[in-house]
Amino acid sequence: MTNRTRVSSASGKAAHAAAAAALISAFSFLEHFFPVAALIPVPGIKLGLGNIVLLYLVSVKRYGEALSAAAVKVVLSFFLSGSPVALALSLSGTALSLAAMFLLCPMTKRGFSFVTVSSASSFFFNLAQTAAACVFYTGAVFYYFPVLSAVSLVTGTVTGISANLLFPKINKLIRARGSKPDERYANE
Amino acid sequence: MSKILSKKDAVFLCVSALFSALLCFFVYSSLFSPDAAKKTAVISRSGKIVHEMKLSEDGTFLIEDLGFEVTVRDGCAFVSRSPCKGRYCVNSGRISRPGAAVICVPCEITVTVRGEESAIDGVAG
Repeated sequence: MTNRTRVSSASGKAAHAAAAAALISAFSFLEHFFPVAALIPVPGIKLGLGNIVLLYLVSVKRYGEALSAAAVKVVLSFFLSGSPVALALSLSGTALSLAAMFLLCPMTKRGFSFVTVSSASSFFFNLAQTAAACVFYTGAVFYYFPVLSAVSLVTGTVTGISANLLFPKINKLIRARGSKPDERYANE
Repeated sequence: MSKILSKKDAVFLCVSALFSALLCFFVYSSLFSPDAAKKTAVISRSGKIVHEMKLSEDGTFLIEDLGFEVTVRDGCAFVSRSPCKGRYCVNSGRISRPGAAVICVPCEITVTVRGEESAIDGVAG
């Protein structure tokens, strides 16, 4: 039992992804306590705190779990809202923002921080969602996009700053328990 | 990574803020300001169209035998000179929305803005 905290089995991965998905749901519930809509009077905006979980998983190169947790998030949002359009909106937004995270996370080693990754992914989330809404509703939804892109910068920065403050501490905690946070599953 | 915001982040944020500001500007200016390029001022005399002027180009049109002058400036059309007594046409002011009109009854002249869609209700004027 030298590496008791290292999760390498498929069931361990599933447990991690499930915990991440649960955290995302918890965060999206927590968002209701932040009156963002009162500060920025734009309907439908939210802080996107759930993305911080995905961002963490991507930052420690646990891509598989990130993908599974995102999939659970999309399906959950479908079950909670009950409309197929919401599923399409959630799916498109999450897919593109996750892709942006995957591509931009290596930039954190080149002087950029999670603020850049987070605001870019939040921008692409809105881009994909607006595009999907244009398809499912009317093209007029596009006129909402410039506002959303500006707001996504703000919310992305907030999430990114939280990530900058939190992630080193989380990693330190995991290291203290005898595991490496950014270690991939070597023995699989 | 313990820093809250790195220098490159600040640069990235500034660039993207500029980008979304420009996006906002272009999208909403095209949405909210009337598109003068697609609109024309149609000048009719006694029911017959005598001249058409683009609202995007400044200029004047003079009906010489009457001394009646229509001017287009800054995307708006207005009657700048009229021989009529009441001068209601001159005082009607500037028009720019599709469907809007200035009418001079004594001269039998109408100036109507024609555009893609009629923004003004046909009945209520």
